Parts: sequence; C-alpha cells; structure tokens
Amino acid sequence: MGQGGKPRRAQAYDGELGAAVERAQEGDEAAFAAAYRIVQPGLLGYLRGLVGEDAEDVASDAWLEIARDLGRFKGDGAGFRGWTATIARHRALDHLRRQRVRPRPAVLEADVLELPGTHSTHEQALESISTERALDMVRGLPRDQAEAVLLRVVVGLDGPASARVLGKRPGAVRTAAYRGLKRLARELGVAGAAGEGVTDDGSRTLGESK
Amino acid sequence: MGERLSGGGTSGRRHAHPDAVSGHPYTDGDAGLEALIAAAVRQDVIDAEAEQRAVAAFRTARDTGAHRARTRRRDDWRPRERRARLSMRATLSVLAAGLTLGGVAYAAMGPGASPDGDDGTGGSRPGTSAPDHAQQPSTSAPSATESSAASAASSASSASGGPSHPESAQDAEAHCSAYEQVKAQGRVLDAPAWQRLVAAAGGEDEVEAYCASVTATAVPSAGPGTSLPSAGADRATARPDRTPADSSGGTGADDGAGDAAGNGTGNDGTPAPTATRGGTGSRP
Repeated sequence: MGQGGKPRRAQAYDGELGAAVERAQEGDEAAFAAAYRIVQPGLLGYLRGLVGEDAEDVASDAWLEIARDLGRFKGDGAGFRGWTATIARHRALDHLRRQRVRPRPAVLEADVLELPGTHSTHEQALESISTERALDMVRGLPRDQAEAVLLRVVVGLDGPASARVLGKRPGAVRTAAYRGLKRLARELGVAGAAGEGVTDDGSRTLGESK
Repeated sequence: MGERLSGGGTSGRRHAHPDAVSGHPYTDGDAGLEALIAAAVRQDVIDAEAEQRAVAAFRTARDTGAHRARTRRRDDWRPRERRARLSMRATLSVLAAGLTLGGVAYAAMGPGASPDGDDGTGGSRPGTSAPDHAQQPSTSAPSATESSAASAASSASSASGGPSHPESAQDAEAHCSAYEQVKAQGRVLDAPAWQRLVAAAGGEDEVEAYCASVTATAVPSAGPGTSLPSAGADRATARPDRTPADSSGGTGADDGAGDAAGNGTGNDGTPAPTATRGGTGSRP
C-alpha cells in the first residue's frame, strides 16, 4: 500500500495486465492468475459499492464467466478492466433483482452519515475515514453518481470506458462522477477547501481522460 | 499494493484489517480525496480460495475449448480511437476523391454546356469559368461583363444585336477553351465533348491547330458583343428625349432598369429625373 496514493494507480498496471491477458488467452494459467490479482481489488470494491456484503459471491460468479469467456475478449489492459467490470455489473444487477424478489434486511443505512465535521484540516478528515465509512458514503450517493465514482476511482476506468460499462453517454457519466466526488468532499466536512479542490480536479482529470 | 501485485505470487494473500486506510499516503486536496476513496473501497486483499476457483474455471474453459468462442460486439474493447481514426481517414479520402472527380467533371462540363443554356451571347460562359481563362485574350473579360449587360438590355428592348456566329462555332469555341484549360492541368476532356471536338477538327492531331483557328476567329467575333453596350449607351442618351413622349409606359421602365444595370454611373443621374418628370407629365 505504500507507493500508490494516486487515484489513477489502478491504471499503472494496464501494460502488465494487457500482457497477462494476452498470455492467458494463449492458455497460460499463471498469467490468468496474475490478471485476476490485478483486476480483483478494484472489481471487488466496485461490487461492494453495488451489492454490499454479497460482493464476494457476486465477484465469484463474475469470474466464472470471465474465465469461461476469456477467449472472446479483444483489447488491452484498460479494455480488460472495462470488460470485466461490465460482466461484474451484470452479475450484480442480477443479484439485486433476485434480492428484490426475496427482500433481505438492508445492509447499511442509519448512522452512516454521521461524519466528522469538526476536523480542522483536510488531512485529519481524510485520515479518519475507514473502509466502511467510505463505502457507506459512496453508497449514500445517488446510484448513477456512486457507480460513476466507483468505476473511475476504484476500478480505474476512463470516461468512455465507464460510459460503456454503464451504457450511458460519456458526458452524463462525467457529470455524475463530478457531482459524486463533490458531494463526497462536502460530506467529509471539508467542503470549503476540498470542495474547490474537487471542482478543479474534476474538470481536469475528467477532461484528460480520453 | 503495487509491490505485491508486481511481485505476484503468494505474498499477496494476506489479510488486511478493515480500517487499514488510516495513514494512507495521499497527495494534496483533490487527488487526496480520490486516493482516499480508492484506498478505502478497493479490496486489496486477495482471497486465495476465490482466486483458485477462478483459475480452475479458466482451466476448465481452456481445456474444453470454450476459449475458441467467437468475439461478440460486447467483448471487443479495443480502443475506439483507432477505429474512429481509420474510418475518418477513409471518409476523408472518399470525400477528396469525390471532390476531385466532381471538379474534373465540372470543369469539363461547365463551359461546354453553357451555349445550350442561354441565348448565345456567351455572357454566362466566362461567368462560370472566368478565373481560369488565363490564356484567353484579355478582351474577353470586359466583353463578358459588357455582353451580359448587353444581353439584359437586348432582352429588354428586343434589340437583335446578339449572336453573330452560329451555334456550332460557339460549341467548338467552348470545347476548345475547355480543352486548353484541361490540357494545362494534364487532364482529358470528358468523352463526348472530346469526341465532338476531334470530329470537328478532323482528327486528334488537328485539335490544337483547329482550336487556334477557332479562337482566332472568335476574338473578332466578340466585336458585336462589345458594340452592343455602345448601342445601348446611345439609346440611353437618346432616351431622355424619348421617354416623355413614350408617356413612361412599360418599355420605358424596362429601359430604365436595363440601363441602370448596364451603363453604370454615367446615366444614373439623368434617367431618374426624367422618369419622375415623365410620370408627372403624362398624368395630366
């Protein structure tokens, strides 16, 4: 966990990932495992945002399909992220549909939004956040914003790829991600500094994403 | 995370504590927010069992030939830009070819078609391709504007000063000018026009000589065209005497329009007063 820190770090392995996928498509089992280890953290995070604690099960289903259909895939490392995210999303939506038929007690809600508003600095506010709190915050966003933020920040997709996964126009996804990040910054209690920071960042990094 | 991933192997299969994000390094401000969310939400712990299940599924699919399945549209994640750039290039080249062919067709067709279209004064012909007529005698340019004015005047007053040479000669002239134009650009006239020109010249080798003779006779034949405006001017200067007598009828108005278009500033002053005078004079 040491060196990253950049929101784009998921993309740092796209070259490695692309090579691994290529070898896996030729039948290399170890290469498939390597691709799994590169993709799975972001994919699982995305699924956590979508289906909460059932993310592991949904991810397993998704990987069965990924492993089966790997020969069909065409593209590079970044493309593989998008392809796998699409498969995982379909599995998650199936899961949610089944859940709607047989409702289960809600996973979260409630105390999730009692957030640190008293921190004097940005750093303190950010340092104090836990995995649960971050997930709850993201899941507290409107669905389109939550997914746009997760695909961009957690899975590491660029704008067009996120749009393709979600089946929406890139402009709409860009706006959703921007609004989601802005709202997250505000809820972190650093609305002044971070809100502006996110505004700047949103326009810059979203603009630069191809 | 990075070291572990690039290192691969079993070192990745450790379990993280859920609140591991505290103390996570982040850069300032905005990037920090995204890094924070990423670090908090990404599940950097690889469950070895889940991985083994996925790899087993991979092995099964590979060994059963499932990996030879065809790529569907949704499986093609190759970068869009490359395909877009290719199609853009194809579109542009098709467009360029179309424009080139269209230009050739237009250049070959334009001058040859015009004699059929108008009344034979040749006024519209330089209009369509006047900038290209570099090799034409310089008198043709003024004669063009003058003759167009003259055609307006002649159509108004039905004066028969127009075509002095027959249709076929004009045709040949047009074909010759088109031929010279096209020849200068290293291209060939379109087939019917070229064949007609060859037929008229009496052989492919005779075309240049034929055209030289045609254009030589054509330049003097433009004379009537240049003489027309002078006739019109004469009429215009004579008209102030005539218009009151005509009681400003329909022909008077037509003449006025023709002159205003054809003869420019010189006559503008005179017809206007005469028109009003004629009008008032004729009413009572």
